[in-house]
Amino acid sequence: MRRKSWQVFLVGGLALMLMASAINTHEAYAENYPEKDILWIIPLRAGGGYDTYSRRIAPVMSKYLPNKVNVGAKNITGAGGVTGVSTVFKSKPDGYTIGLAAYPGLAVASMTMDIGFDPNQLTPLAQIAVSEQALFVSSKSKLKSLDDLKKTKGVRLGTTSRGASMFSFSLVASKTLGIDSELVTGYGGTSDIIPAIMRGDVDGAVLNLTQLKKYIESGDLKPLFTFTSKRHELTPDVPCVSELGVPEATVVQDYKMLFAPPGLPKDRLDILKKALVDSFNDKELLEWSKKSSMPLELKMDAEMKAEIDKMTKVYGQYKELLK
Amino acid sequence: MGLFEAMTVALFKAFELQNLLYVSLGTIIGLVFGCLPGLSSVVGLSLLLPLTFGMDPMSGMFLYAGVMGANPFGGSISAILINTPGTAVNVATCFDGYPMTQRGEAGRALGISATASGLGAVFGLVILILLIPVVRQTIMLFGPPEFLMFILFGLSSIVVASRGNMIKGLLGGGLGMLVACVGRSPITGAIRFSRDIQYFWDGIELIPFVIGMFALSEVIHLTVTGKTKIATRKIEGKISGVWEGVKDVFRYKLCFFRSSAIGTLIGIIPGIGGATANFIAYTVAMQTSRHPEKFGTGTPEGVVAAESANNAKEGGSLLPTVGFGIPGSVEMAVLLGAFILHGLVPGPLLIKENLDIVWAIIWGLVISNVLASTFGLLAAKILVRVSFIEVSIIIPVVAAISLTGAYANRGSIIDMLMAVIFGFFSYFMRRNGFPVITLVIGFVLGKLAEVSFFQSLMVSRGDYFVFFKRPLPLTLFLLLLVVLVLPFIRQKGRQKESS
Repeated sequence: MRRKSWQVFLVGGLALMLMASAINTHEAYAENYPEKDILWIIPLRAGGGYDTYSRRIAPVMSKYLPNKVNVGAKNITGAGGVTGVSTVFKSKPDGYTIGLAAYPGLAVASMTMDIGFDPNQLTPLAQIAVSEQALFVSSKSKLKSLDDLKKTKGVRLGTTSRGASMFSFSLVASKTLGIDSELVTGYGGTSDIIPAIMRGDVDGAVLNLTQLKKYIESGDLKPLFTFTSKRHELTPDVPCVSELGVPEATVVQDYKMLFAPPGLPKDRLDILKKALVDSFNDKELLEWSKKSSMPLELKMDAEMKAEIDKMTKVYGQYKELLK
Repeated sequence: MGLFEAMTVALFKAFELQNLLYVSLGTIIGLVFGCLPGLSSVVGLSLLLPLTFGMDPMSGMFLYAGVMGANPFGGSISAILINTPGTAVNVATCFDGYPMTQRGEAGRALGISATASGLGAVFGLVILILLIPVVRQTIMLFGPPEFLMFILFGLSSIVVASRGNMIKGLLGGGLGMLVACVGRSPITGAIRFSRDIQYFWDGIELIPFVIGMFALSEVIHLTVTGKTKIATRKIEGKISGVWEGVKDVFRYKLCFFRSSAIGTLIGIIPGIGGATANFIAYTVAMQTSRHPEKFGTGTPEGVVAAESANNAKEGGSLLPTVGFGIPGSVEMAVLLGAFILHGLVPGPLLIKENLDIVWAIIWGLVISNVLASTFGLLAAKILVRVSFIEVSIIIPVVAAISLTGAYANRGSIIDMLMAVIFGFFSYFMRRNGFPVITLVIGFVLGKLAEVSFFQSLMVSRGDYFVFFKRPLPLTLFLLLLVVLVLPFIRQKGRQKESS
């Protein structure tokens, strides 16, 4: 009997303590954001560019957040990146879930398929990086300039399948520049296309410039022109599309955009933004960015929105072709 | 830094206490993650990445190599004992490993796996070192037509695996290829068999598929038959069983070398996953064996083939990864990510600029494999007891582990549901005499066959003769014909002998 009352006392005490702690956290929840770990969703697979950026930036961000809570990066993949963004979209707008999205990939997906949500309703946090693209050919190729490409019938461009960013890039690049191209689809990604170009299976491809820096240095591949408005510092001898008279083609770039769910309260949004701004001034992160040739480019608010709108507009023109 | 200088520097580094600890830690993680279905070395490496930021890159590499080296052997433990491939590269291990366990020879199977894994890995690494100087030429050997011929080699084994039940076997293979068609077409981008269900856009995921096909269908089978133990009879002197397994690898040395070579070769080809490597090795072993009819019923040869190939593959896939910055497998893609996080830029120059790092990975893999295999040989005696536990205890445990694995792979509840569906599907197939192997072969190789076939045509602008214009695909094609015709000739010969 005595033992039993002792047990009741213990259980009751524990329950009280739990309740007390619950009330306590609830109060703190409103005032003291953030106080638990933040989830950073990576919509693409482990080992890729999105993954690498996320895994490098997330821990730096946690350093600059109030209470120094962890920012944990996690891959939620599927449907070419749509699943991960959709998970962000459906999460509670409490500032504990954020995620990367690929632009124009996401815009194209929402234009050409029923993805179940409107990306424009997401709360934009920041653009963290832009991957500049270039048209690459083998260094042994006979194609030496845009004019050569235009003169050739059926230039074989290697790419991933319809729906992925690279496919949209190859298509929009061909249309804007007036290249008569045949897209060779089915490649898994950049790393499958590099040997395909060198073997001559395909004539060229639209690929990420900085990522291929070492292949230019080793003399395996050669960029014919970059999809930028100015010559790129990495390749000062290579013309950009603007100087070739096709400034429209500068939309062929991969934007890594960070979003929160729709309806995130402004105070929490501001806390996250400030942590991002501080992170992008972090000395170690900047050093890493330079050393690994993984460029960072922070844009927020109106600037970020302008980029999104521009892409939505230009890629919207090719909606039917991209379907 | 010269080749040998870098080699010795890395070797000395490897035997520093701290780095030995990292390799050992990695080995333990690799074994555990390998053993548990759904938790692969990809997950393990991704989890470790943030912890290694502060480390010097070389120590980080020892940790990663530990995980990668031990992972395939870890996966074979669950494949052999409970018919659940721990990782995607252990699927073919189930084919003969589990039937051996059912016969009471789990110790022998584990002995084979430990030995073949360790030796296979070393084989792959030796080839890697030999090929480093010609990495560029090696990678450029393989285009879509070559791919297709390799895949067809694998697919042709459906015929062998059908064993006297040709119609059902071929139906199974075709069905597997159809399952592989679900989702976005890799060529045209059209979405097939999925309507508006977003889940299916990426196709059927391999892990829940194999968990359902093997583990859950076995759970259903055990429940329905009411057997009390997995192993039907106890073999006397279980410890000698482990040594029998070690000897088996040397008994089937031709099979070992052939499978290791195939594993390494498939590993080198970027874009073909590790699961394919041990499949093709297994199927080639089946076709070239003197007793192809025994494959799938628990022949040691089958385990030798599958396990030597999946470890040799590591060395192979390291070649394009470190030599050219092109990942030879999913794990290698994560490893490349790790390079970048450590401020190393992968690409064709890495091998010149950071040769010591490359050697650190090689030594790390060697040490990790030695540790994992030693562990396997020592622990086999204890592990074997799983097959003698009451089935009433095994069933809930295996069901729980498999379902968790199906979920953990990418955190999807629907994956769990799919695993259950495939479990029942596979059970009914087996009950009606369909060989499950052919369906799995069709599924794994179907999509790759489609991609390489259409790419060959696109690359050659629609020329159907592209497959016969280069020497390598032509040779492979002729070999394929020989392999398909040979069994018939042999059978005729045998009939003559007996008459």
